[in-house]
Amino acid sequence: MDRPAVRLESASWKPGKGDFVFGPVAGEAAAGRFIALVGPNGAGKSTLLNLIGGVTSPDSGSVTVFGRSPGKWKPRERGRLMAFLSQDPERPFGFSVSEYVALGRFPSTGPFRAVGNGDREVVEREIRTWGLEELAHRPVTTLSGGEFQRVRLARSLCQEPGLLLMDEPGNHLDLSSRMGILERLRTDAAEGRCILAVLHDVNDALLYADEVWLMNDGRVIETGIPSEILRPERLNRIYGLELQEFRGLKELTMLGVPPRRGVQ
Amino acid sequence: MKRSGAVVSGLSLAALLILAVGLSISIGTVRIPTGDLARILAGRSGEFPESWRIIVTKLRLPRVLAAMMTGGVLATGGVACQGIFRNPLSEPYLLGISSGAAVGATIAIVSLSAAGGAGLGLIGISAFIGALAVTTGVFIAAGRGAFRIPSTLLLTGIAIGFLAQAAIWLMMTFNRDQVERITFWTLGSFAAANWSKVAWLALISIPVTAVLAAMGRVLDVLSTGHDSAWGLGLDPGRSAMLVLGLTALGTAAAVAVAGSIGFVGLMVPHAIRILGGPSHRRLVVHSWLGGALLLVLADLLARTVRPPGEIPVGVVTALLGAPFLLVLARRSGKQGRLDG
Repeated sequence: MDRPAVRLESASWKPGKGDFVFGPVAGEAAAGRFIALVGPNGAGKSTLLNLIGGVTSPDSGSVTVFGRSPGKWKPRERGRLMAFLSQDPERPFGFSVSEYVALGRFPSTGPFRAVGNGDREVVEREIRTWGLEELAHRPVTTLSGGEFQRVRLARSLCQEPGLLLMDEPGNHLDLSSRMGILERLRTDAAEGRCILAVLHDVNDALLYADEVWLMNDGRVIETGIPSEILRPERLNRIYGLELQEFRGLKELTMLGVPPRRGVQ
Repeated sequence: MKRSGAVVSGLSLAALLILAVGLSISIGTVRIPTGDLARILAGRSGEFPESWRIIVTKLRLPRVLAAMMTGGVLATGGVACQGIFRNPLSEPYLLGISSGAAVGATIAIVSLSAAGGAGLGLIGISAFIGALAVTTGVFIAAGRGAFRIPSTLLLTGIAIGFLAQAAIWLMMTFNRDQVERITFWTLGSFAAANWSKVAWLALISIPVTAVLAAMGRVLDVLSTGHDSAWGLGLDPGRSAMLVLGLTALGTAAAVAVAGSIGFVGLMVPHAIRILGGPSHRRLVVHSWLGGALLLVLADLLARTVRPPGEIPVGVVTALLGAPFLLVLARRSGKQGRLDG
């Protein structure tokens, strides 16, 4: 791999107030990898995505995306390189599903270029992929949480980004839709995309991710293959739980809370 | 909405506007027949009193054009604000534009008690400066990141609006003899329209509208929210600042000419939204036409309901606007949303 999609060098950041400190964090995310960010609430997962996405800039150290700091890319170039699915979506009024998904072509068309056949094909492909044909003419304000999440994913992928940043892509989704998304993301990554996704369920990371970055207290504490990093002992310490290992689907290792033991 | 549908509804609006403009020039205390009106506008002579030519070219035509451009730019500003604040109830006046203009006008009225000079007149110029000054103040007070959380800018606008209102009341208290003039100015009127005001309005409002229409797709992206716009390859803060700056400029020009006429910026974009999809390029163009149509008709009503006197045009738009909003509120109450 010539250059990594994302490189962090002792990147650190502190919000205006509060005790939270992010970093210093170092790491590299290569193209073709589906990387899961795992860690308890407040571990800094969303901050990490914001830094990579360029929504915030590091106070010290550096963050580069395809060799350049995200703020240094021209905004539209940045939009073609990476898509960012934040955690808390707004529902803009007035848009139908197909119109909203088509906004994903903005980084390519810009404000003036006419929308071409190539753009329309991409939009139609993503609408099909995410099973949105039936909803295409519905206003986005009338969708259920899960439906809207699929619409947002379709829009992000219309950007055809080399890097996809996602904060809990499975949020609001029922089990089968969630599995469908994770399956699609894994295929996408295998085709050369770099995907960084915050996943809350460690089993999702175990089953689908190529790599996991385990985070706690504003730092990345371990990186590596999910089955090696997501060990019960380590997670028990971080989450304050007593997880157990068991054999799941296709002999894959999974983790779970033992029976009759409540979550603290 | 299909492109062809958008063109058809645009052309219908334009045709209605032309009709309303013609009607408005011909109706009044003196009724001018269509044939003579055409002859006057074409600069030809005919068997009509010469005073008709003056009524048309010096009084009614500039007045109708002023109403048209004011309505257009106010409605366009409404589209821009509703898109950026992702709030269907926002309009340009929430940025402090109208209260700023009113402060400027009030200062001019009480300190100069001067009649209009050349161009806008001192009151107009003072209103224009007041509008831009207060809006700049709102931007500065809201601070950075105001576009990330739109309610910040709206709340700041409302707060500073109250401050401006307090200043106006204070000036009114100490200048009781001018209260009527101030009130009348605030309610808005095109009675004092003339060609230099029309030229001034055209110079600012037409480029502003054209640029906003050209930025239609940027507005589409901005209307999906700050983080989403960022993700789609915009610098949302910078783009929103540009759009709101243009909106403030256009609105300030309109308010300086006609006083703060309410409801147009709020009402028209909604009505236009009901006609079609969210494309902001279409919304900007159609809302300009719709706003122009509304104010031309409102002004026609304002000066013909009780001749020879006039009622303030802002009263007419408020009378039309309030029921419209009530219908809108009921609709959204039923559907759980406000998107026409």
